[in-house]
Amino acid sequence: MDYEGVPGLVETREAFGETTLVVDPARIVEACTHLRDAEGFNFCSDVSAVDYLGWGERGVAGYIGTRGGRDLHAPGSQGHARVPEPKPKRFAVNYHLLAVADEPRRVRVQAWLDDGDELASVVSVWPTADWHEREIWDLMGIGFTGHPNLRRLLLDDDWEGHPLRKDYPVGGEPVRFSEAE
Amino acid sequence: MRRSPGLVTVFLAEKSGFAHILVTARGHGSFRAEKPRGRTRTERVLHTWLPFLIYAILAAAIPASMMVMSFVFSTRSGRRHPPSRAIPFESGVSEGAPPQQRFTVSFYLTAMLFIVFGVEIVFLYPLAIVLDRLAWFGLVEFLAFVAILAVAYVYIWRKGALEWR
Amino acid sequence: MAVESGGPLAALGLQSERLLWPTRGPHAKGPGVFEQEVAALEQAVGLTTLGKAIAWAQSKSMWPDTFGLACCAIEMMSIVTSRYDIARFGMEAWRASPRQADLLIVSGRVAHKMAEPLRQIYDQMLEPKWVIAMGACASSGGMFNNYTILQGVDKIVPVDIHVPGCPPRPEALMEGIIRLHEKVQAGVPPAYEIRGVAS
Repeated sequence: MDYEGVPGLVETREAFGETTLVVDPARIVEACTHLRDAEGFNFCSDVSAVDYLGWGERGVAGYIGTRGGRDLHAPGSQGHARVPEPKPKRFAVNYHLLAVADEPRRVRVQAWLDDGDELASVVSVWPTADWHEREIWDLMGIGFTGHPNLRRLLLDDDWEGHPLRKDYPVGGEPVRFSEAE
Repeated sequence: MRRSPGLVTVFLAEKSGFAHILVTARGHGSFRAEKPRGRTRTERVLHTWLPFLIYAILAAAIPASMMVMSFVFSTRSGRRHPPSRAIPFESGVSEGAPPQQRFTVSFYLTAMLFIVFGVEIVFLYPLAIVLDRLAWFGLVEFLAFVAILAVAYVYIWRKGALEWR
Repeated sequence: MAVESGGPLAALGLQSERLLWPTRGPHAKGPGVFEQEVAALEQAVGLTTLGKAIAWAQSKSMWPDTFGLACCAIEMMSIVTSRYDIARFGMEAWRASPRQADLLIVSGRVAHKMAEPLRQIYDQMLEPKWVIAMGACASSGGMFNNYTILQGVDKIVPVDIHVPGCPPRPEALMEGIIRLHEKVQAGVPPAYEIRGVAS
């Protein structure tokens, strides 16, 4: 699949049969409008965000290695632990798009952000992104400019913090018979 | 000397529907439709209406007993209830009844007008049944009655009371 | 599973029975702890005949409120089906309004956001009222020990019966319900009169 005409396109990645278009966050609305109108991706399937804080550190997801430090499945590594490729920034916001047609196609649009960056809202392109973006704001703390109603969706209105970030504590109560005893 | 049937016999006869085999002193069975002869007025009234009286007493006693029993057997909780107990149920997210809002006076107007014209209709129903006996006199009087109310109707209409505000 | 023989029906041809636990012989198990305690309480409370009649009526027709929250709700729904049949105990009439319900079966995890509606619905029920905390999440937070799940619904409402399981089988929930009926018939007052917490 060839998506050269998408404005703001930084990179195209193909892996496992899926196409990912990495797009400049400043031009996300243009890119989405182009994909909807010119390429026919009329259905926004999902908008989700990922926090890559601590990527590559020991004990964090993405660290490839066994407990003893050996990765038996990576070819060429001779079983030693490998550090995965570093990610460009901390947050990635992924838009999963579907072209509803006789031959449906799927594509993922990815925008990389740092902590505190805001992204333009694509509600004007696909109205269904409204609640997805509210959820991302609620749980990840990524703001969306131009969103008609950016409030917390899942948590209480007066909640402090964004729980799905990697630096947010799990919470809960101390329980008997946990490993400390 | 004819022995008139006792109260209980009358009651049982009426209730069981076997009144037609009530035996008089003459020895025949008498049909229900026949006016019983030789009874006093009190006995006649009682004969007709006693079953209804017993039925009415029972019909009143059953709900009354339920209400009395619920008061007698209720437990006084003696606890102070939180205010959320008294507000309307709204799946747990109720914030209480909304503050008093303006009342739409059109409801009141509509109800009043309905009463007036409803009473008019109620008068017309029995009139319709006996109109043939009242002939022309009845018809003219009936038209006068309706005309008065039609004047009232036109007045209401022109005053705008039929518009919903 | 114990296999016993020689009981009262042996002469009629019942040669052996398979039982959950042995009822005769050296390993016989008598009534369990719950049954013993309920019997002791029944002696201690000493209901009058009228009280016993009222308690019987309350337990034989205790209508639950539709308060299914999560996976335990599926098991709660299935006790109404014909296989497990809670209608035998007069409880197939689930009421949507707490004003008409006697029993609140909290089935599922309760988030802190849901705790306020839960308490409001509990408040809107009329006395006498009972609460069953069904499943691990309602009893203690279950597997979710985190910032969002209330660790045990008995922090906000007084609970009569906790039913363990994740989710408890329909038979387990029915055992909890029947034990509640036994408690009520023994004269044990509902939990809001006993517990000092969240009454």
